[in-house]
Formats: sequence, C-alpha cells, structure tokens
Amino acid sequence: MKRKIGFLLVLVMIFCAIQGCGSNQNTDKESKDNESTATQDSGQGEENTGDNEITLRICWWGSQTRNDLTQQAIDLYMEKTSNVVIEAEFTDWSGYWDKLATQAAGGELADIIQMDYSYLTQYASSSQLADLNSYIESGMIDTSYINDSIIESGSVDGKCFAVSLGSTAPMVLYDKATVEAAGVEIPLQPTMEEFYDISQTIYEKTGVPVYLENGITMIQYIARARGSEIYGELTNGVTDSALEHLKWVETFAKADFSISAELLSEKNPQVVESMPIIDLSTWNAFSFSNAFVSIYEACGGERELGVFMYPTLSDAKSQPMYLKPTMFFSVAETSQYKDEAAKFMDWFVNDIECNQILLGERGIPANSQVSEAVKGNVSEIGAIAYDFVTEVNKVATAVDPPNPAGYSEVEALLKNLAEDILYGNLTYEEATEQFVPQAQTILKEAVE
Amino acid sequence: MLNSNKKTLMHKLNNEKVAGYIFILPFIIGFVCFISFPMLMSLIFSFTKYDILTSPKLTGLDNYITLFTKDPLFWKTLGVTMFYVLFSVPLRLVMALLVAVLLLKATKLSGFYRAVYYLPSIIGSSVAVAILWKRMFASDGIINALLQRIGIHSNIAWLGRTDTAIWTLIILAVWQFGSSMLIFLAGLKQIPVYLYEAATVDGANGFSKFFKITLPMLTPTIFFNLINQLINGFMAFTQSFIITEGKPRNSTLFYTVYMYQNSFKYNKMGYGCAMAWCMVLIVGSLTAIIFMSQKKWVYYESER
Repeated sequence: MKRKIGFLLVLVMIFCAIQGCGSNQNTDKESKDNESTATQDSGQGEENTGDNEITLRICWWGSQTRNDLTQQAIDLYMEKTSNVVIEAEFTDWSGYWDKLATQAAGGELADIIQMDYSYLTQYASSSQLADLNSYIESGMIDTSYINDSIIESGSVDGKCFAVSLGSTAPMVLYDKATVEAAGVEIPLQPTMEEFYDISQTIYEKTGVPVYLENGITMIQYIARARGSEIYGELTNGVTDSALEHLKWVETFAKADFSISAELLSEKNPQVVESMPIIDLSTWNAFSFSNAFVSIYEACGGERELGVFMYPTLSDAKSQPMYLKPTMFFSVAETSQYKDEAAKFMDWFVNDIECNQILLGERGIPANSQVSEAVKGNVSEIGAIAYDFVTEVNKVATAVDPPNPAGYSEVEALLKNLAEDILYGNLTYEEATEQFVPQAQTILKEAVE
Repeated sequence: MLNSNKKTLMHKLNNEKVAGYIFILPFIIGFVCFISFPMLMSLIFSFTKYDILTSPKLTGLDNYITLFTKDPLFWKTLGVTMFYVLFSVPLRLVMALLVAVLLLKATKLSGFYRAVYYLPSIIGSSVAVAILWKRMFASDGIINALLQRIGIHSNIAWLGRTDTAIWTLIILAVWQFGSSMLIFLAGLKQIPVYLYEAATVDGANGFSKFFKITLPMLTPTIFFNLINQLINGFMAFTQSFIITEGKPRNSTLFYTVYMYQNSFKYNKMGYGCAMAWCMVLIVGSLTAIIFMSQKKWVYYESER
C-alpha cells in the first residue's frame, strides 16, 4: 500500500507540474484579455479570420483619471485598427521606475513606454530606446504641427528618442480668498524680494504662512535666472547658483511667516494629496501647471485658486520660466513592432478625437492644432492652466537639457541639506560647501 | 522482462525516503530558485557597478570601501535601525509576555481576546495601517486631539520632529506583539503545574512564582522570540518607507529603505547588493552572539 502511494505521489507531482505550467499560461492570457476588455471580441474575431494580429504592450504611470482616459483612447484606437491589440500596464510614479528598470534588465520592456524628462538620458544612452528619427523623417510620426523645440526636448545627441505628450510650466498656486483678505496684489512674476514682502503682509493680515520650494526644481530655476545651467555648474564644481538658492531657503526658513519645518515635513508638499495649501497650512503651493486641476480637486473643488510664476531674482540675467514636456512616449529598442508602435504614437499625439478623450490631462498637447481643438472642451478650471501656459509661452526661454544620470541622487542630497537648513542645523554656506562637491562626485560616478 | 524492469523502478521509487523528498520538493524548488540563486547573484553584483540598464562592470571591493569609508548615510541609517531594534524588540517582547500571562487564565472570552490582540501583527505591517498611523500622529490627528481632551494642549507634529518621529514607528512595532504573544502562550502552557503547586505549598507569592518559575521555564521561548523579532526588526521597511519616508532629517531612514533607494531610485544596484550583504553579516553575527549566549541564560529541562 505504502509503495503504491509513493508511486502515485510521483505521478501526481509530475501531473501537477505539467498542469501548473499549462494553467499559468491560461491565466496569463486571461488576465491580458481582461485588460483589453472592450476589444476582446474584435481581437478574437481577427484571430479566426487568420489576419496577422499584432499585440503591443504599453505602460505608463499616473492617477486613476489618467488610467481611465488612456484606456478609453486605446479602446478607440483598437476599434479603428482591427489588427492591433494593445495591452495596457499602469502603476503609480514611484513603482513605475522600479518596474521599468527590472523589465529593461530582463529585455522585457513594453513596446511603448511613457518616459519622463528626468529619466530620458539614462534610458536613451543605455540603448533601451529606439531612435525615432527615421519615423519622423518618413512622416510616419507627423510632426508638422509640433514645434521643433518640443521634438528637440525628446532628443539626446541629435537623435529623437521620445515624443512629447504635452507641455507644462512651473506654477505657483495660491488661495485667492486668503490673498484677497490680506489685500495684496501678486504680480504674474514677482521677484524673490517681492515674494518675501508679500508673504510677510499675508501672514501679518491673515496668519497664514508661506512655503518656499527648496528642491531641485527651484535650484534649477535659480540657475536659469542667473543665466546658467545647474548640472553644468555642479559637474564643474561651481557653487554660485547653489549658494544663491540655499541663501533664499535660509532667508525664508528664518522668517516667522514661513511654515515650520516640522509641519512641512509632516505635510510633504511633493504629493498633491498632502500639500499644505489643502488645509491652509500655507497659502501657496509650488507645482506645475498640469497638476493644477488635481490640486484644485484636492482642495475640495470649491476654493478659488490663483496662479503666478515662480519668483525670479531681482538681478536676473535671463527669464527663468520655461515650458517643459510633461512626459513622453518612447518605443523600446527591443520591440518587435516598432512600426506599429510609431503609428500608435502618431495617432495619440495628432488625432483630435483621441485628444478630446484625453483632455490635456498629460499637459497642453504638443500639436498646436490639437491644442486649439481641445481647448474648447476643457472645463473652466482647466482653462486657468491653459491660459497660464499661454502666458508663459510668451516669455519662456529654452528648457534645460534632460537631467543627467545620477540626478535622482543629487535631488535627494539637496533635499537632505535643505532640510538641515530648515531645522537650523546648517547655514546656507555650510550646506553649499557640502552640496556642490558631493553632487559633483555623484554626477561623475554616474557616467563612469 | 519489461514487467520486472517496471517493478524495480517502482521498487526504487517506493520507499519513505523518496516520499519525503517529494514532500519537501516544493520548498526545495522555491528555495533554490527564489532564495539561493538570487542571493548568489546579489553577492556577485555586490562586487560590480550595476545600473540595471546596462550590464554590470566588475569593480572589486569598491562598493564595500565606499560603504564603510565614504558614505555617512550608511552609518546614519545603520544607527537608526539599531536604535529602532534596540527599543522595539525588547518592548514588544515585554508587552507580548505581559498580555500572554494575562490571557493564560481560561475565560469565556479569552479566545476572542487572543484573536483581537493577534490582529495587529497580521495587518500591522500593511500599507493601510501605515497610512492610518500617519494620520493618527499628524499635528491635527487623533493623538493630539486626545491629549487636548485630557487637558494637555498639544499641537506637536510628532512625525515632523527628529526626536519623536522614530518613536511613532517604535510604538507601531510594539503594537504588533501578537505573534510573539501566541508563542509565549504556548510556552506558558507547557510549564508543569506541579511546580506552581509546590511553590504554593512553600508559600511563594505571585511575584516570586513569576520570576522564579515562569521566567526561567520560559527562557527557550524568549530565546526563540528574541531571535525571530531581532531579524524582523532589521528587516522593517514599510513603516519607514510609507509613514515617514525617512524624514525628518533622515532620523527615521531605515537601512532597508536606504538600500532600496540605492538599488532602485539611484539605479546603483551593485551598491545596494553590497549593503544587503553587510546586513546579512550584521544580522548573522548578532544572531550568532545570542546563540552563544544561550548557555548562560536559556534553561532547557532536558539538560537537567
């Protein structure tokens, strides 16, 4: 009896193993089918007629709104293009880059990848992304209504690796009721000194404190105002812009009208849902124009919010405001269907019907015709961001080149040192002395 | 002929050894594929510069040298983690033992209480609880509201102060005493009743019973829990990653979170692997020290 059981067990094991593999494949397929629910039927139909069906994988990061809208647009595309099935994968921002790095390491990148300006160099220079120049030249990706500077922004060393999905600009948001109660007028672009005075008045009249962005976006902006470029400075060990930036961080940190370091740390202004403007811990928020609607929603959807440009230096050598691509689509070098992927990207960027679904959620569309057409459909609130970008467009200077490899570590380093200033543990001179050489080392080691 | 061949094959397969191997096979496969192999790979990667996107470059001991000599955050995060373990593990064990002793008496509701006290250790390290914790200790959260109720005017940003933030994480860890408690309960039940009876006859009070009988008899369980929780403590990640994100001023940046940042955020996978191996060595040697110390304080009945 025992013997038979032993033998039976072997059989069961083998059976399970085979069955296991088989069922795995089944569930994989099922889950994929579920993701593309609406077109499951048409896809199956194609299979039956023996057409060459192509499956494209696409991945992006984003909020639930973006996921829903993009899925709708994809469904529309699959309706129109019968031989293409598009499988969508989406996650939030922080999980996205872990996932992408792991997929890249396994040579398993999705065909179409949503790419960010800060990661573009890294992915392009490690040959993970396909060169799109030939598609642009052949017109497969139509760029006739897209500004050259936007194409340029997706290029590394003259090769275009990414097509911009929209533009955004640095934007300060403020609570209108508070500012009006204080009786101050905020110019469209205040200087740092003006911003300081305005903050003081608002605090004296209403008791609501201010917050000054102290991270990588601001230091980059300050460098631009000085007519310089921050990564160039850091790579060469130049301290000027860092010193200027951290001086302002300290000036505001010492002022009694600034939000306390403790409360700021708890609130985390980097995340829309916890921005201190939401519960009026501050009267302002530093962000980007494409986040305007979500911040508005996070504030309850009823409070009136005004906008102005990041404050500049009073002795600015150049206008630091810029338009920046919010995000891109890239094609993976490992993709087997680069042509099909390019066609989809062309449609996504240039098709009006598609963009009327997306409604500029990824920023103001790069295609000027599309942008005009979509503007009519945007809500009253969305129009504020639209108009702001139009204003910025009048004065904006060219955007900095994509962030170099190692940038995220520099960003973290600056965050730590700025925090030390806020908590009063370092002066701005000490922080600069630590920041610049360390950043230089990080940037140098990252490209080695 | 064929028949007899079959028989010998069947014969070979039909013994308890084979059955045993088959039963442990799922674990062995899992262990080799998902533990041994990745560990070996990470050991190799720890001697390379590997940014995940391009293939690794051998750099010898560079990662380890940077780690020990050039990276102040390595020591900082190690210190934070040590502090966390040093306080959360003993506090958690004391709490677990206390509640276990209280729950030892069988009442109608003891099953219910056991389940209730066990719950936090199931859900405790989840993201949902982490976010709940963040809200509770917010400056306008429930903890401050309660303090105000009892007359202490408090608007402390618990998570924003370098001296309090780590303690919110330690309290969260202590709150998850359930699994140690269950093990203590099992241990307590194994202590022979006659020892207590004899002590009662000799006129010992509750305290001396606890310190002279319960505690010494429980040392093997304490030993087991200590090692278990120590390793758990060093592996803590979610709390630091979600509740505080290492803030403020890196005062709650756990070693594991810094390792994660290096590996995936800064794309320094090789460096991250080197950090992982340092952790293995640290936890390994601490465990070894505790193991060696057990002769001094752990009492096994069989050794009598």
